[in-house]
Amino acid sequence: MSAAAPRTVETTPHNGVRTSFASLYETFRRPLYRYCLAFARDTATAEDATQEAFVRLYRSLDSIHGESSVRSWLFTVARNEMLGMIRKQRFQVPIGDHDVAEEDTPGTIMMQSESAALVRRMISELNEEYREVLILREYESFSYAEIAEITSSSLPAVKSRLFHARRALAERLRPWFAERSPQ
Amino acid sequence: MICEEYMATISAFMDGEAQPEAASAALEHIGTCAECRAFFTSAMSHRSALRHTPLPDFPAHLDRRIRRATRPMKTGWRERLPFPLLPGGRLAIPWPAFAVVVLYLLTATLLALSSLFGPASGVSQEPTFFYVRELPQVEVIATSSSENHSEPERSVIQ
Repeated sequence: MSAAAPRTVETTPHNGVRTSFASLYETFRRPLYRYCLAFARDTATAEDATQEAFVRLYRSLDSIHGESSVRSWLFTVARNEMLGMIRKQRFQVPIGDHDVAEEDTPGTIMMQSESAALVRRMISELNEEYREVLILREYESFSYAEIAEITSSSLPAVKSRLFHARRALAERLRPWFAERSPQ
Repeated sequence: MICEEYMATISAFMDGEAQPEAASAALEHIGTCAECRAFFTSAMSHRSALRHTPLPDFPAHLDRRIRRATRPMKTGWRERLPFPLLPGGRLAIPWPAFAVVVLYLLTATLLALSSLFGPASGVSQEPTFFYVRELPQVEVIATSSSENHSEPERSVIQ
């Protein structure tokens, strides 16, 4: 945490717990940024979406109640922001050029396994609708209902997308598993 | 039930979203179907790999940008004060230091006024003296142009 602590805006959610913007920011900034990086596959877009989500949260804090609602709300705003930017810019980023793995520090690279890096790379190659449900489920552990809310889709659609995403990923990882499995 | 349906159930089961009966049937099926077992193994492996991935570092420049963008607007007089307010809106002024400064300013003002205007009129207790420099004595010598060369008259003007 930097020395200059942000000023807090106190609000009183329905549950009576006083929540401040500063604490929400500290709790969700890294998960949200990770989601944005994995979804957008572009650092600039991920940063802009993260910033926009938090700025809107700051302005709308009084109307959002409960930490779980804030979490879903933040991810929804960031997702919509990224979709808007992607549509607007219509950029096509080559896979790997701005991959999530490039954001890692030497320390985290040492910590993460080869398989994690490979899986992340494979996920980044999935199409958008598969990629986002997988990220929301596996990284952030959102429930199906929350994913449906964030992605503006139905529960059966979420369930189906997750299955197809896992299947596509299994197909892509099959050669790697075959290579590692004992002969 | 075909394998695709079993895989869909396995996927939902992994997320705790499958019906118990369907989940039991799918798990039983895994024991006999290599393809479905491979799907389950792969899905569990990528879940484990992803969940053990550390969170990325949050860029410092992004942190600064967000903190700057979410700084509260200074609209009221309380926010515009150069010093913070105590809880309840009281001024956070160090009173001893404030008293010393006020006393110093008061004393300085009084001294400046007294040097400009002197003591207050009507209460003078000492006469006012005007300093006049003492003039030197002037010796005037009166001479005449008469023929008798008598001694000139001398007088001293003081």
